[in-house]
Amino acid sequence: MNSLLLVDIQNQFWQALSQSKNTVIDLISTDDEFNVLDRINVYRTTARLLHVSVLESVYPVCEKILGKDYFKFIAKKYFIKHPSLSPGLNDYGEQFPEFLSRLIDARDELNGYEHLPDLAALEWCIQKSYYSGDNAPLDMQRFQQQCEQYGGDVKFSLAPSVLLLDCNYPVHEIWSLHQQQAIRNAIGIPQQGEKLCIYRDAYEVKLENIDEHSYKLMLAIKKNSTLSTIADSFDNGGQLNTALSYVMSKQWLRI
Amino acid sequence: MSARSPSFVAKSSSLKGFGVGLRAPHVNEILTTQPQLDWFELLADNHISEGGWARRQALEIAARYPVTMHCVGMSIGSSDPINYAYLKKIKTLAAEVKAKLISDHLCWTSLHSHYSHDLLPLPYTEEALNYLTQRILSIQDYLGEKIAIENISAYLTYKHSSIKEVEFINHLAENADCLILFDVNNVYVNQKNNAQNSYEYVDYIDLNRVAEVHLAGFEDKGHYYLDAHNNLVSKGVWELYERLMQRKSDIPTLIEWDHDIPSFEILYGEAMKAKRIKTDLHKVQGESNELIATC
Repeated sequence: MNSLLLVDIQNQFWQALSQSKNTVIDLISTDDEFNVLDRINVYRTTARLLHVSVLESVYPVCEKILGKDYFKFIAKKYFIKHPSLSPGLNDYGEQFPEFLSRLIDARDELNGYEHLPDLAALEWCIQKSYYSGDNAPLDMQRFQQQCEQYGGDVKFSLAPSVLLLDCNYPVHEIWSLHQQQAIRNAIGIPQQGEKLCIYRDAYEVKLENIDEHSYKLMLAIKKNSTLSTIADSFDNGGQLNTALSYVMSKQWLRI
Repeated sequence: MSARSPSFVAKSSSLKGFGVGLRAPHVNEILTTQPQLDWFELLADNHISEGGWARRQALEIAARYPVTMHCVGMSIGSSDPINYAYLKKIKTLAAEVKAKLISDHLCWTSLHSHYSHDLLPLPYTEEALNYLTQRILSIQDYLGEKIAIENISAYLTYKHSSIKEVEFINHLAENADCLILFDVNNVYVNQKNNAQNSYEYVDYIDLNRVAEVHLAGFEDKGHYYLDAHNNLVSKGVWELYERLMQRKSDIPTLIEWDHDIPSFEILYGEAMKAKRIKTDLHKVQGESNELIATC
């Protein structure tokens, strides 16, 4: 009976969990009261409930809009399609916005919910920002030194908790309304794009609509562009200076 | 496999008394009222984020109390390679909070780089024993200290198992020179679920290796017990705990509660109940010693 290796047992067990294959049944001891399938189902149920509950906690506004039961239904589908790739549960759910997008294209009952992937992307950014590294204040002395030393070749970076989002729908407003328990008709949200910065102030995640120039600057910084490359992409120096001053005043910039 | 000479440092020797598992809803109350407890156990995976309030909580508690770290992500029994990126996070946090003990479970949680986030049971075979010994040695090499391995609750056992669980964990602890985190509730749950002899387990566990005891509540599902950590410690578990404490009464003991989390007062009450059992046992032992001396 010992000839089966640990890896074989684990493979069969994993198939039972992830693909509902039951070959592992033959490997499991049993008694009349608690049959083998019920035993395996304890693990199947636990894994499913856990992953679904993580998605519920990361995407609470999406859940409110879709309703608890329907959200559970699609969360289960996501769980089957997207197993966790990290030992940390806080990392689970990253592909959910894309998954929603594909689902909306494929399911008639989701007509009118085209804004949900953007909303889900916002909720994912909130999750990422919440657990991101702490923001140290911008070191102005170092900032000036680096600018003097490297001139146009100087590169900045964004503070660890800062994330950018370019949305097709007014998701900041929708999200804010749902924080106040307000219910808004989810269907037929007008296409009205916005650019958002998601960041953390101490331990609280905050959202801010930002103008096009600030967004452009931060996106370029995120892409590791030099200051001169960024400057070339702006129509005039005034726009860049205004955006740079604003981003620095918000402590979103690092060097 | 022969026993390996002890080579890892065990920080847990300074761990004493009674603690509870730190849960987010209680943190502010604990920081404000600073209850008299000997230590807190951090669910390490909840605090290994790069920053933010979750990590800050761990540091704030560690500034006031000794802490231990309980992990669920090492996947010690998995056929996958060891996840050193995860271990690095654990090591970093352990250094920051000066963890008295790092523990994880006698189980596997991942395969093919996919994580179940559940504690999946292992077959207790010679092959598994040798494999886990090497894995724990590697993990301890990396962390630079002994870790403790916790016996898990399980809803199935394998026909291939050829070694009793208690023998397996005792041998593993000796071969890998690691410690044991002995969960009394899990032994009780497994008695119901897998007809495991809980008295034998409690009587046979190697107390020289047991660094900490866990107590928790389960959910009675009728034909099995679910280790839900959502209840008071049951009468049967307290009885087993008392039996264990009669063998050795100074093992640090911790109350776990993970779902339907009650007020902190309830957890504290459970920790004090464990403490009373120890005090009462000492009293009885003292009276017996006096009686023997008189005779």
